[in-house]
Amino acid sequence: MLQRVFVIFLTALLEAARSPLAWVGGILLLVVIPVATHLVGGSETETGVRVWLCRSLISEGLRWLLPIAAFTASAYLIRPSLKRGWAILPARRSEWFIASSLAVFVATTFATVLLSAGGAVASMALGDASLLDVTRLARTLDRRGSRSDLRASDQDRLFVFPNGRETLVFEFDAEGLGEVLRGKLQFEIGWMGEIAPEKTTPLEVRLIGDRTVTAITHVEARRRSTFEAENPGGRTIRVECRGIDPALSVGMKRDECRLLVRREDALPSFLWLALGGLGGALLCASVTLGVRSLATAPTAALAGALVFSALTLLPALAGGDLPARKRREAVEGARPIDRSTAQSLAETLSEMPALIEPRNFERLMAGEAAGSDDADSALLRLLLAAGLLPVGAILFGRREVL
Amino acid sequence: MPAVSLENLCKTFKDFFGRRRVCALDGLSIAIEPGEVFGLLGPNGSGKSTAFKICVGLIRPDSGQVRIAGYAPGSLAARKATGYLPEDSTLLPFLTARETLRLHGALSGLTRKASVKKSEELLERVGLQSAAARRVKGFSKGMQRRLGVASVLMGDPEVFILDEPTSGLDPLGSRDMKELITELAGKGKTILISSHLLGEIENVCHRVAFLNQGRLLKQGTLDELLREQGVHELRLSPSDAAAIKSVEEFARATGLNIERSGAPLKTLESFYVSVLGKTNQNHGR
Repeated sequence: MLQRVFVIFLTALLEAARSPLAWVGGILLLVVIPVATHLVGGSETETGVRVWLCRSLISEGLRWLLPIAAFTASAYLIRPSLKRGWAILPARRSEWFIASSLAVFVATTFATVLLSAGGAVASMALGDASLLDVTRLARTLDRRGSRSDLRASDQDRLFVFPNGRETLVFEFDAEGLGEVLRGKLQFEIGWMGEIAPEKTTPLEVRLIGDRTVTAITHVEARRRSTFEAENPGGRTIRVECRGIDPALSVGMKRDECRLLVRREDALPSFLWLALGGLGGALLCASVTLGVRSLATAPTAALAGALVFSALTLLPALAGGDLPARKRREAVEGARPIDRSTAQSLAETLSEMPALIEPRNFERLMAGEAAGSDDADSALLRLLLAAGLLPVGAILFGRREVL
Repeated sequence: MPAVSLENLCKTFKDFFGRRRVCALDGLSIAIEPGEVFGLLGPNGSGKSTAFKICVGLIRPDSGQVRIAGYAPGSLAARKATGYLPEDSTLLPFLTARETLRLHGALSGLTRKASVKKSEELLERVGLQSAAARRVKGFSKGMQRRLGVASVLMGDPEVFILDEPTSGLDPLGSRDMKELITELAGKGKTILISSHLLGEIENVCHRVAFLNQGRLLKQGTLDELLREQGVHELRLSPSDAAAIKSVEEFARATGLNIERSGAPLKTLESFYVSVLGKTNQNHGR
């Protein structure tokens, strides 16, 4: 059986490679990012725009376009291979399904590599401007304040109220850091509901070592800031974050405060992002192929679209006040607020795993090097995608071909 | 043991809601012996293709039993024992003719060496050697049909199920196909054919069955089914007018009624073959 699957798999790849569509698509994937970044002006002042565009294209391409292309192609392009296969009798239909699906996986991987390679080429052409910051993670995160024994219900994320007494404290190893420290913050904000936000950034940051230094903060995006200060000295450095906007509670995880260590080329980051994007894309493709084993191409494409949209949108479904409500319930011991069924459902669904973990993508957009943090979850998605194929194969083998 | 056995086969197609829509087969029973060429005849929608698809495991019957070379259809043993040529081309368009045959050889379990040897032999056999390196996408329908037949032959199956095997073939191709079928039958292979061209079935089949609306109307050998009772045909050669006249007079004198007398007409196919056959063979078509 394995030999037959292998033979069909190679044949399917050969067929795909000889299709003119494959060549056009491959070339487009390779050149789209370099060409797009090159076309956006050529002057020195526009380098930042080009860097941003390059990162955006690679990030959004892998995060959105790749899964969409994967499930659409899986729904519509697999039929010819399957239809031509079911009359070749020595092979089972399930073997054709597995082999054709694996060919889809390889083609998707190839598309991912081409898109990433195009991004890498564009990035290299931009020189030093496209280098990414390599960051150091905090060893620990604590919440300190008047009621520090209480933790938020979200165990990974700790929240502070803007009462001036509660702080989030990140502790870093100080070895190898320069005279000036720069860092990045990423946070969740929970609107308290009583008044409108007042500050441009909801946090005040202080660095504590041999001495204490107040950092200068810059807002990068709605939930992202940078800070900069002199190195306070010492073997460890603590970064203390205090909520200062009376309208917002702020929640952070241990890996959401990072000190910048050095700068490096973007290629390794693109590869980590590619792995994440590929995991999501193949999961979508696998579900689509499974549905396609029993249903028509439009139905299968719809199933892929549903999985894609559900796992992309549902995790962000809960309202912006969810962290604040959790904080009130868990830290202050408030009674759970009566919620409508829809609100409860939205909260439950918001805890679903995302199709593609957003962390590395957000880092890239913030100019940070992506790491291997999400490699496990990406591999899990790849395994899940592969694990769904036998189900599709069994269903397709049992399906009647009229 | 019959090479192909269909016993009381029933199949009804249902709609999305499970309601019975079309009764495609209604108690079909056929037994085909090894080495026999069996023709399945009937109008469109009579159930021929459904019966074929059940034989190759693409459709499951509602009731009844099917055995192909003693195996249940769809099982690996049955699939290895069966060569199926569907009505529509199922060839992969971007493979060459040679690659197509080697793919079938590999799937049939042939070694690489055996696959290479057999594919070259079959390309020669079906007259496609000059087009062996061309991609199937550019083939005419007739060429695709011949390549399809060669593909079926790669696995050397015991039972051939050929759905409209001469569809799209020119008269020479049809003649080659019929010769091939006869040759395979001579080697003890069992062949199940369907065709709308009754003349072709008549030339190659040992037995035929007539289907309509899923029911078996009649089956038997061509001799049993086609022999006209109470009529005798006498062919004379050479055609000497005086001798023929005296034979006719003698027949009338003995009370026989002569329905037709004259030089027989060739069939258009035989004339086509006699005119074009040799030329095309020389050019390798």
